[in-house]
Amino acid sequence: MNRQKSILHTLDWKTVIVYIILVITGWICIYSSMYNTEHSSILDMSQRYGMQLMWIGTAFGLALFILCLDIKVFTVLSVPVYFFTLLLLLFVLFSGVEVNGSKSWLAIGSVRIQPVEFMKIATSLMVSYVISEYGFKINSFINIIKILIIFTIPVILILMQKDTGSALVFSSFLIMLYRAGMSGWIIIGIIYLSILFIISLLLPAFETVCILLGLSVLIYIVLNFNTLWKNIKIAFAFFIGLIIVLFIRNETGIKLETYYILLIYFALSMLILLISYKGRISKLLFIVVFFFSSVTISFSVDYVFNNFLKQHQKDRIENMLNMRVDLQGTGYNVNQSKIAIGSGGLFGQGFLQGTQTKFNFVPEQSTDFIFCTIGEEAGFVGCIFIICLYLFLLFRIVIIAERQRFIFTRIFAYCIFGILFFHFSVNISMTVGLIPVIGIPLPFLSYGGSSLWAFTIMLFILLKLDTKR
Amino acid sequence: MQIFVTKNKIILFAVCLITAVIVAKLFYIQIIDDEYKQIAKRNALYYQTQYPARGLIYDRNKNVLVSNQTMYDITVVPREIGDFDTVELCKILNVNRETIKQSLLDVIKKYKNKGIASYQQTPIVKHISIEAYTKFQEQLYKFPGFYTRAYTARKYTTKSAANLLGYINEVDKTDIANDKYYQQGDFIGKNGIEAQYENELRGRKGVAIYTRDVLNRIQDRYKNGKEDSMAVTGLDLICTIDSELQNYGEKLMRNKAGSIVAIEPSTGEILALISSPCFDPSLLDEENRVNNYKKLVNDKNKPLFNRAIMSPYPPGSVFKVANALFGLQENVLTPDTYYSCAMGYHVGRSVGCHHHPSPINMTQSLMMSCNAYYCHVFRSIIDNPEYENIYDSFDKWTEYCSSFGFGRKLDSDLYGEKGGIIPTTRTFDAKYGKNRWKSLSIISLAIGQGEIGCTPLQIANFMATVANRGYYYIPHVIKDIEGKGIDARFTQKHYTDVDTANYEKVTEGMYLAVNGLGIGNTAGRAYVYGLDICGKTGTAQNAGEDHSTFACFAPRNNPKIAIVVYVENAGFGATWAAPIASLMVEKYLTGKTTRPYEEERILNANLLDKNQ
Repeated sequence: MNRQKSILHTLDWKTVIVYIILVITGWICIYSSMYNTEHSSILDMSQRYGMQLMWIGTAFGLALFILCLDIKVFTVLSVPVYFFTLLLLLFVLFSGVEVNGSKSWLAIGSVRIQPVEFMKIATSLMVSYVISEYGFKINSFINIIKILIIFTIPVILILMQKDTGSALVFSSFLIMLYRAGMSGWIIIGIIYLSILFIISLLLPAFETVCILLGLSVLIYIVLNFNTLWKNIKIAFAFFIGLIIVLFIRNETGIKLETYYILLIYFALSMLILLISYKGRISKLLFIVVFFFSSVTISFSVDYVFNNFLKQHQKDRIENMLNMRVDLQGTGYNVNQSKIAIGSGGLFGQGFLQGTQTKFNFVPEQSTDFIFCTIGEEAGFVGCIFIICLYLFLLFRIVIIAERQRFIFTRIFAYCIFGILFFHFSVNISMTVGLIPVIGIPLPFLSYGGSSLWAFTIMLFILLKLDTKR
Repeated sequence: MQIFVTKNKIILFAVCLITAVIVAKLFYIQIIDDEYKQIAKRNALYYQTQYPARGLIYDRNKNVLVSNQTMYDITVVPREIGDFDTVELCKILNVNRETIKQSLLDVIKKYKNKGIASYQQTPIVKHISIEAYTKFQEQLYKFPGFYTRAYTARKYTTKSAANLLGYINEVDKTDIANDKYYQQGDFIGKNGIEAQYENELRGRKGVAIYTRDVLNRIQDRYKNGKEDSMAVTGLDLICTIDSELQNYGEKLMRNKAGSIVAIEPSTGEILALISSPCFDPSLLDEENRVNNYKKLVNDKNKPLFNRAIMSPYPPGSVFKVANALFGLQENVLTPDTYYSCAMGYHVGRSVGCHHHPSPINMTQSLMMSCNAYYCHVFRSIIDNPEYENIYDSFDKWTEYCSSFGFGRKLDSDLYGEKGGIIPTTRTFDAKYGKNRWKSLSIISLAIGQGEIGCTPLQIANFMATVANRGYYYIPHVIKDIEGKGIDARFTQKHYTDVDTANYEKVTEGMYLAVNGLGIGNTAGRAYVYGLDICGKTGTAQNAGEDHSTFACFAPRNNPKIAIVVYVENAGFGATWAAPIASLMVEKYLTGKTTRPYEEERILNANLLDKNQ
């Protein structure tokens, strides 16, 4: 009795309430998106909304169960759970059920579950356990390898199941790593690489080289700001030289792509500069390395894209980057999703009044594209409401994380924070057409037992851990 | 620890930043960009246009001239066509397989050539029976991409006044571009009253909105019909035409080219407007238009050319009345002015005349239609010493003409009305050179010949003006627009520049021209006992044989009708136009005709073939 009372006192009720609002909203949205007149009751068990109620009920049960467990269970069990879930993934790989091209489902009777959802929890627990070990230093080489292994094994298994979306979720652990002490430069580096990746695909080689050239010059100027005037004079001299080189090429008719000339010219001029600036080689060298490594990456991205990626992956990427418009094919989902959300306007069409989601214009409207229903029926106001709920939840988790004494809990909180934020931002961005379609559910709202269970378990483990802060 | 705190703030900052981007995008597609809402509607809503019934057209005695009938079409939307059973389709519609196949191929061809959009309803089988329509409607679900279309088309209960009434046709690209109201497949008035009063007649389309799913199945009424709009029926028009008179006139004009225009002087209402050759308006109704339109266009007698309001005939001797009025107003002519005539006016370019007593006064000149007399009158107007030069005096003359509505559009409600031709000083400057022409150069105008052209409508209006002794109402063909009345301009008197007193003086001449039996009158053939017809013959010279023309009004006091008749290439005005006009007047005023011999002669005359 005494123990229960203490739980009721220390439980973070704000989070619980937001969780309940989200889950109920999700249930109503599923009802609205799948609504048809033959099955008009929200409790109709033959329909997804009826089923979702069952999932919600069991999820609440799970939440209660977790709250009743002893806190030590999580630390003790984190290693076995991790390996057990890995085994499940492996098992799915051989005898799983294939849905929508990814073999990630495990059939138990008539119920199908997705072990990958639970892998996220298991990995979070495992990594929290490892990092919270006494004397762990994030920047030591051996530790980085350890963490990398913890992430890489499930990612590889998930990729083998052709579930790229879920694999990408594991990149959200970067947030936790950053918080745990990893250098911010790594994050910036990764962002730079992503931008470089997009630019390489989007622009022709010549323009990519030009942009990188410009960037290098910019960095050079920033690094040598005190000798700017001198540098401008040098730059002008090189510029004239470049024009002469291009002029010669055009006149003599040598068949050489312009960007190769740029590359060679840049290399030569850097060589000249290196010789003349013997004293301050390091900065120049940095820029040269930066430039050529960027060019190499960019060119190899093109090469990999054209030679290694599968057609549907290429399609998705190309579609997102507007490299071609194919509204009937791969662009259909996103386009219909945008139409549905766009048609909502400020206040939406009203509950059960949405025409786009209801009449199946939007595919997967109860799972990955559940946000369309909100956008269409509740409009901009409804979307903002939902987004605010998520933001509140995320802020709550950060607050919870920051008030922990135990490193394990803090690390685990940031894992959950990363996963939730990744799901939330990527899912909504995909439905509004900001990024390509990545098939991951919207936490708590999307239809599906596995994801609801997984997110519930995650959240309530954290809440349970938080009660012992 | 300090760094630790900073890091979680950076993380939250990044979260807010990314969320802001998402919110911005949401704001853009939900609030700013309207395109998605439009597409959504196209996606999920099916707009079924509710076509209103077009307004009916009645004659002045409330007889229906034009009404409506419902037509049924089968249409297809190219991009929605799926598998269907051709045999069943043929059975329901009672057409053979080849026809269906051909029209489907036509639609596909049109679609491929970008003639129609993939989502556009295009008719493939037109004018099916109501039974076939009902049956097909029931089976519609078996034919994806097929729709039915019920719409009203025109039904003509009258067999006359085709050019006056006009016809309706499906809108073309220009119509759609000019007025956003129209959509592919709508009908629009293309000529006559149908075109002129399109906005009143068409009513307003309504729309019934249905939702449909991704497979295009109609689901339900959108918002329970809250956003539907009812079609508003077009306004009925009562026109000024006396259809009996119109019919009779068309009968008389059979096998003759020309025109009759009859106006009620006291109102400016057009009683009959005939352009011959005439044709049955049903030839251009929905069912027959396709077959007949080309034929009518290519007919060498130009039945689609509305002579009554478009053809600038030389007015001929009828114009002497006008010149007499101008002369009187300018005080260069009095009823007692005598001029002699020696079989014409032989100064400069000789103008011939026929045999009649001489000298004569103004009344006699009108009665006998003396050419020489009007050469004198015209010269006295143009060479009037009151004016500094011929430019001033001639400008005055054209001013008079304009006040009568010559040389300009009368601004009537007749679709395609033309203004005729009245020369200006510039016309002659161009012809002869500046200051190189004088009254004798333009003497033909004295007798309504030369560089002058008036439409029958203008002459009829002129007659109405004389009948009213000095003013006219703008001729119009619509008496009442269901509850709205008519435009104010039709109910205002338009005075000419000639004083009322002067009209009485010419009326006498016109009266005697018809009624002055045995004393050299030219229009005795138009005489009808007791009707007091006042008229003036004309024999308008032109490239071919002379046009026979006669303009008159009756009775002399308190006139009820002013009428002009043109019979192309028929010779003397007295021979054809005068009797036709008098028969029309008689018919209108008394309801019967008393001269079967004249009627017989005219009905049997074929002046069209004579000229070929």
